[in-house]
Amino acid sequence: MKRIIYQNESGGVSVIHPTGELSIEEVAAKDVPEGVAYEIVEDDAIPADRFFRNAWVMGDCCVEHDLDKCKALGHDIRRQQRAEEFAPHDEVIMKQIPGKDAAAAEEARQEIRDKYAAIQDEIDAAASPDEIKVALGVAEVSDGGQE
Amino acid sequence: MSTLSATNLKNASSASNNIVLNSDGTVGGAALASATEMFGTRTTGTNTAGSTTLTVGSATGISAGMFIVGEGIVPGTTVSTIVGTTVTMSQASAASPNLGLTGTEPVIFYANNKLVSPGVIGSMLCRAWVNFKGTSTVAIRASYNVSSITDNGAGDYTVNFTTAMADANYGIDVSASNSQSFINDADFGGADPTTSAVRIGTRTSAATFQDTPYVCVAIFR
Repeated sequence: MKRIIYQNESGGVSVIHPTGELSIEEVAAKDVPEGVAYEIVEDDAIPADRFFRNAWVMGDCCVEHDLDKCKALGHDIRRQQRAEEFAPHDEVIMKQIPGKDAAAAEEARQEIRDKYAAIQDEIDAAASPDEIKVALGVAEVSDGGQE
Repeated sequence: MSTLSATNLKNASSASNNIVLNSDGTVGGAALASATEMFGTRTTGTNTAGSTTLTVGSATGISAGMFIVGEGIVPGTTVSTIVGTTVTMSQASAASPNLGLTGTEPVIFYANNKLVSPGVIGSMLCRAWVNFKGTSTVAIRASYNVSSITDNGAGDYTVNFTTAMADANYGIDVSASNSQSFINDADFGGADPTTSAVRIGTRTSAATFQDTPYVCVAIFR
């Protein structure tokens, strides 16, 4: 099955999936924004793993991942994960809840900081999108989930 | 091949022409459904499950042969007879025992013997629709009047129409599902609809764009 790819207004890649009602050439003429260069490719030229979908860029032969964009998305996910782990401890410290040990909460927060500092280093050192996913502990996830 | 030349067709027992044969080749007359008939005759009905007797709130406009649509009524059920406000329903299928409303519910009666003109139903039609998978390898499951979808990014798609809409003032229904979490919002993707396409987005409760296994879009105008 053929697809049409082009660089979109945000610098990423848009992928057109025809339904078959029109020929691929007719779809390209009608559905690619006017004046934008495009390529018709086989669907295996498009990554099946959409975890870093918003890091896709036009490559020489196919759609590729921009590693810097992947790392930026990875850091967004890392911050989100860290915030979720911080949340219960933040509440103890901010509200000074009676019966809750603020010192223990702060200790837990420090452990979380250390854990995510290590993950941050792993993401920065990653040589591929897969290594970033491993650092994030989401290697099994393949669907796009980032903005 | 011979041609029957006539201006009207009328049943011998009918008081008026059933079908009017216009000089331009089109047809008219009482055989064509009106807009009111397309909306149906609406009233309420009461019956018990398994019974073919339906008591209606009003018998006005109901006649034998009409189709009956209502909760618990098997599709294809028609009016066998009507006496006063008591309708005897045909049972569409002998194998369908659940012929019955739950209490008093709205019921609609539709003519079973009318021709439908595009001019009457034109604005009632779904002009385009698509059902596609937005995860892993994006795939279109089924569609009508959609030339393609454009995957712009995670949870960000454009539906492109094969035949353009008359204007951009159409109604859009977007729905989406996710096996892991609810899609909180399925909507316009931040761009105004055009006659040739509409951009839609699927987002989590945190307003983050996210892919989803089922995305369904329908356009009405």
